[in-house]
Amino acid sequence: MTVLSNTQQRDQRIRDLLTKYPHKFDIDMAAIDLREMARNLPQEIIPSVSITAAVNSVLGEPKVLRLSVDPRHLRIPKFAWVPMDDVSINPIFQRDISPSHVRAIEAKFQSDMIIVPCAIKDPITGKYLLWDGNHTRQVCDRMGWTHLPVWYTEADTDSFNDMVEAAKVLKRKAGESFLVINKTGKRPVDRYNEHMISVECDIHKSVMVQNIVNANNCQVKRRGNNPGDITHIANLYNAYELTQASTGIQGIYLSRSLRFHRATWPMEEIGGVMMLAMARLYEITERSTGVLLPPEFDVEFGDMLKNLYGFSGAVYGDDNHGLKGAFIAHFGSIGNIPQAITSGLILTYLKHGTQGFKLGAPEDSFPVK
Amino acid sequence: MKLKKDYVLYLRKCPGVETPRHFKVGITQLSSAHIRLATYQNSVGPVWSESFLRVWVGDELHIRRAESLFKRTFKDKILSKSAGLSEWICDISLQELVDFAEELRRAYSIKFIDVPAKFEPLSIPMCEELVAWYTQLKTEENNLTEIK
Repeated sequence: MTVLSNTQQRDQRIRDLLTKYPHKFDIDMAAIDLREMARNLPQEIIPSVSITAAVNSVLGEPKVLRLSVDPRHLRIPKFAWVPMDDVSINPIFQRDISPSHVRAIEAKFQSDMIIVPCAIKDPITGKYLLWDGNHTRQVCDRMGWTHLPVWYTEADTDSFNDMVEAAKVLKRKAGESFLVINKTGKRPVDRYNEHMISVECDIHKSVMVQNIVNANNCQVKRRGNNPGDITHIANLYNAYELTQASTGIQGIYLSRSLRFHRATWPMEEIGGVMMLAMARLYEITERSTGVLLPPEFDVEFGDMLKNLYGFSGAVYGDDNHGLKGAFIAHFGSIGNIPQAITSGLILTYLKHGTQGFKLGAPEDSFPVK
Repeated sequence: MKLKKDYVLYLRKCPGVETPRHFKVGITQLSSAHIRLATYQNSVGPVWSESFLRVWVGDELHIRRAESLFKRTFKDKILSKSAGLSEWICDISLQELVDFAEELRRAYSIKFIDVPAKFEPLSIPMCEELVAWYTQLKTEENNLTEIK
């Protein structure tokens, strides 16, 4: 009998799961692409059981049988609308309160859009001591709420010799919970999800960025696998924010940069730095010459870069290659990478260009190929 | 700038298989290709002679990119990500892979070159001569660039 390694078993589980879905999606330890997975399902709504199956394909079957535990029979957590003055803070398991953070969430406050705070119920004072959601409590208090919704746990007083011991155990639990929620168990929203959620929620700037991406036959992805995939969301927005001086419009240079990439390297993903550097090249040039470079420039420059360097990633290079390598060879290290690459691109055209397009001045000067 | 490293992109078959349908795509530094071959030779012993069926040479950056595109494009034909299996592209013809190498140059703008036919398949004794050939080629190209 063939013995499969853990990795082989995981590969097999993932393969088996994916056979059930006509539209394939990425599954690995770091992330399961739910947006792509949803395309397989009616109304693109994924049932919990399907997500569990996908997670299990990576992690293996859980030790507890699915749907075998009814948590309503457990003692925790409980829910209550707690009078505001029965809510307290024990600073042992709470961080400082930040008025500026209170102001930030207060500005966006909606009564149906709050995360329910979590607490322990102090067996001695009867107060609800929050270990998560203190800023939410503060905003609700400033909004005049009489009660606060709270998930809470309380000690089984029969299990302890006295209230002090029970309080001690609860405090330890609250401290552990605080750290897990706010540090070890926290998965911050990454730029990819931030962008996708913003687009779907019609946040203006993100919709504008997405429209430009779509118009240039590109797509924002968590991981770049296909031609036109954009994964560097920070630089996507940085490129979008470059503003045309004459009109005050944003996005023009991003659009030109994406069009340049798709025309020059149609089989490649969009390199984040190259995307921003090309947008900067157009912006610097128009600012200093008053002229937006014509499409003929793109053709000449694209051919030049392909002949000199090859694929887009080779133009950017690394510590030893391409424009980044040339910058490091000259200056010893690299600071502002987009600025360095923009300069390298301009210097390359100045050295090899034959059609005489006038470009803006490079911000750095160093020998290029 | 540090010296750029010359690399080899290669295709290997299982030793002893006459009409292979599974190929390993791999890369190695040109100057140590003989060591890589020796490692493979060690695992098959004296019965088979190890060699690289097809070989291309180029700059490290381009060869690494080519390898990653091979793996990505033929992802569905790599049957396991486990150690020792993640580079084997299965149930495919050699010609399909060679055609893809050509496509990498034409459509993906990746720069690497064929080696002369006499170096294929590449076995350990031929590695030294391959290095000499490529070094000579690059020297001539550099001289040409300087003249230009």
